Parts: sequence; C-alpha cells; structure tokens
Amino acid sequence: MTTHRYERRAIVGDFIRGGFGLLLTVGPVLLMPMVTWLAVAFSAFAALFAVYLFRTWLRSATALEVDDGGIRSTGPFGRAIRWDALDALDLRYFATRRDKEGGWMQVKLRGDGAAIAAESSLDGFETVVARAADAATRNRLALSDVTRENLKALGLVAGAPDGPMPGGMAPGGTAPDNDDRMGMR
Amino acid sequence: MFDYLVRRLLVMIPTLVAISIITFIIIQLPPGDYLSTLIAEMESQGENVDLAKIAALRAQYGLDQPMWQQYLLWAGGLLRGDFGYSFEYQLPVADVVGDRVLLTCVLNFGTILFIYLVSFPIGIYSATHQYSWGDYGLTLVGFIGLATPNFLLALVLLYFANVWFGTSIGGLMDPSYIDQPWTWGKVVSVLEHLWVPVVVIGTSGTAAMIRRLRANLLDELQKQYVITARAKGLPPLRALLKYPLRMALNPFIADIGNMLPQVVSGSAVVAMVLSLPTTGPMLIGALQSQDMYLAGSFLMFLAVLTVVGMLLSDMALAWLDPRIRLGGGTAR
Repeated sequence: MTTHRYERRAIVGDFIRGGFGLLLTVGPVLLMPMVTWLAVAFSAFAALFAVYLFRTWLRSATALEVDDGGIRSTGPFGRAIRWDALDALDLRYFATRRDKEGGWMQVKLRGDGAAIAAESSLDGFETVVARAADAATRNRLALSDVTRENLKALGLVAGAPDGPMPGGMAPGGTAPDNDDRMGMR
Repeated sequence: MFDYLVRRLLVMIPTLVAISIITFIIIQLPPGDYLSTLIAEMESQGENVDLAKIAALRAQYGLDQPMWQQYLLWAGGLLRGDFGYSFEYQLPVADVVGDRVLLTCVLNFGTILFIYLVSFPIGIYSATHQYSWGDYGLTLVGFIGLATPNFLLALVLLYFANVWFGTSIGGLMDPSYIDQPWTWGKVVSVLEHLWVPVVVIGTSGTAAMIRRLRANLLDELQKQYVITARAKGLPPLRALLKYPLRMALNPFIADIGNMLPQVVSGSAVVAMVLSLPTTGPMLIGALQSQDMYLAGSFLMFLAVLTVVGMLLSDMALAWLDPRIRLGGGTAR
C-alpha cells in the first residue's frame, strides 16, 4: 500500500492565495463604507475565497491510500472506491496562463457511490493516476477524449481496449463500429 | 473547476490594479490639468481669471497633491463605489454617467449576441458547403460587411430605419423618454432603436467570425475520424454536431475576450455618429477636457468589462476543453 499526501509547499501556496484573496475582499467591506451593490459583490468573492481556504485545509488534512484493492481518502469526509467498482475516470488540465503553461491536473474517480478527487500537487500523483488508469482499462471504461489525451501526456494509455484513440481512430487501425465508441454520445 | 475559478480571479486582481495605475498615468500625461485647460479657455475668451479661486479649487479637488496621492484617493474611492467628481459637469461621476453604463452594456451585449447568432449558422453552412454558390455568396456578403466603414453603414441604416420604420434619427430611445424614469415604453423604445447600432457594430465582427468558424470547422471535417464516421454510415448531421463542431468552437469561444474590447472601441465611433447615449462620446469629451476622474472611471469600466469577458471565455474554454498542451508543463 502507498500513502500520498499533498506537498507542503503547494498547500502553503494555496493558503497564501486564499488568504490574500480573502483579505482583499473582506478588508474593504469591513474597513470602509461601501455602496450596497459593491459590498454584495465583494462579499460574494470573499465567500469564494473562504470556500477555497476550507478546501485547501481539507486537502492538507487528507491522505490518499492506494493498494491493489482500491483507493481510500483518509481524514475529514474520508471515502473509498474499490478498483473493480471504478466506473468513471476523468483527468483534466487547468492553467491560468493563456499559453496553458504552468498549470495543474485534476483527477476525479467515481465508483461505489463515492467520488475522490486529487490534484497534481499530490505527492505521487502519477502513481495514483496510473493505478486508476489500469483499473479503468480492466473495467473497460469509456473515457473521454480529453482524459485520454491528458493520460497520454503522462505516458499512460487507458480505457476500453477497443475504444477510440485521440484523433478518433481506434487502436490497431480498426475503425470504431458505432458512434458511441467514437465518443459521440 | 472551482479551484480554477478562484485562481483565475486572483490573477484578475493584479491585472486590474496594473490597469488602474496605467490608466491614471495616461490620463495625467498631458501637460496641465482640468483647471489649466479651463484657465486657457477663459483667457482665450477674454474673461478675467481669479487665480486665488483657481488655487482654492485646485486644493479642493486635490490637484495640488503628488500624483501617487491623487491615485490612491481615486483608487480608494473606486473600492467604495465613489468614482470621484466630474469637474466639467460639477457633479459626482456616478450622477453624470447615469444610464450610460447600462445602455453601453446592453448595446455591447446585443452586439456580441448578434455576432454569434449570425456567424454561427453561416460559418457552419459555409464549411459544410465549401465552394458552393451559397458559400461564395455568404463569403462575399461577409467581405462587404468587413470592408464597409461603420460610420457609413450607420448613416445608411439610420436613413432607412427612419424611412421604413419611422424610427427617430439618432439616440437609443425616442426623445420623449430621455431623462425619464424607466418604464415598459422606454424599454420598448430602446429595443426599437437598438438594432441599428447592433447591426452596424456587429457586421464587421460577424464577417471575421464567419471566416474563423469556417476555417476551424473545415480543418476538423477533413480529419480521419470524421471520414471514418461517414464511411461507417453515421448520419451527416450527427457526424457534424457531436464532435467536429464542438472542437471547432474552442477558438470561437476564446474570441469572446478579444471581441469585447473591439466591440467597445468600435461602438465609440458609431456612438458619435448615431448620437448614442453610451460611454464612448462622453469618454472622448472627458479625455479632451482632462476631466480625469470621469475619464478614469470610464476607462476602468471598460477594463473591468474586458477582464470579466476574458474570465468568462477562459472559464468556458476550461470547461469545454481541459486538455494539456503538449510542450506546456504541469506545475505542482
């Protein structure tokens, strides 16, 4: 069994970001008289940053345990998914820069009536995704084109063996025989 | 996605601060200030200028303070919803602006909606019927729209709107509704007048958008997966809508952010020609008279509009296409 936690540096960075945002939005509301519509807007943004801080705290208190049987998140709101019950794998990439550099990945796993999400700041993120990708292949999950391309960027191939490859052609040069296999649902 | 939204909002904060500083510096760049311009005007008209009174006014408006103090005063006011005082109109900026900001938003939103509603079906038709008579005809119309100066189109449409529909010349509402409280009749009058500037401002943007969507969709339609899907007997409409169109939409959506400033700056010229009560003409007047708080507030409004537009387009793109670009790195 392997245990994965979020890197301290990333968590501290997120706390600083959230705190900075909260300070800049709550500060003006509390310290200066403000017209109502602006106070409402600032309060809404402050609520977003507060939720972001809470989620960062959750991440800091969470560890992911991965073994041959499945994946578990320990800590507040802990959940578990067995690999043989995995029914969805979604891997997304986000970047705030226009050139899409310096972004981060987020994997979402669903199964057993639970969902577990992890970001690429998790120590051993690639290992977790590789395990999930293996399970997705075994379970013959239909993965989205986006997930397949992002997995490919990590050097992984997953999903139903006769499913589509990025670009739409099936592996081995065989054409998919229905639109569902082409991701056209 | 939530984390993306928050981080993207955090990027907006330094962007807006930087824009506000640059805006303030640019407004201050011309020599002198509003009062200097006023003195020069009065002297040119042979009027006596009471220098003591001018000095008192300069102190009252804070124009005798260093630029950084004036900036902090203005920026602090913006945070409170106080946009400063218009020297020219002798009123708070919020009172001077009145409905102009709302009407500018309505006009720009209507223009963007027009651009998308028109260019989307035409772009798809042109791509799926490449080199057909329809494609050539619509391309010609698109190029004519691109090449026709906005002010000329504005004058032509204004004439025909008046002759055919009896719409009053100029403005965004019937003269009887100007400075009146908002009523259903006033809303209807605005809608009746809105189509002329929307068509005028939107025409050039529509032509460019049609070409872009056509090119993107043609690229996608020539890919192997589409050919395979067709060969396998997938209905043409399904083979078009489900995947190639979605992929072709990415640059289309990414353009929202770029389109907003173009539409806003384009609407300023049209607003002058059509006498529209939007921010454009007043901004130009404020810049000419160095009414710095009024000009600064307008410029900040346009900046916020642009930054929010970019945020919306980035959010839509992140939702539609969260793929990594190979060559880009994944940070931890």
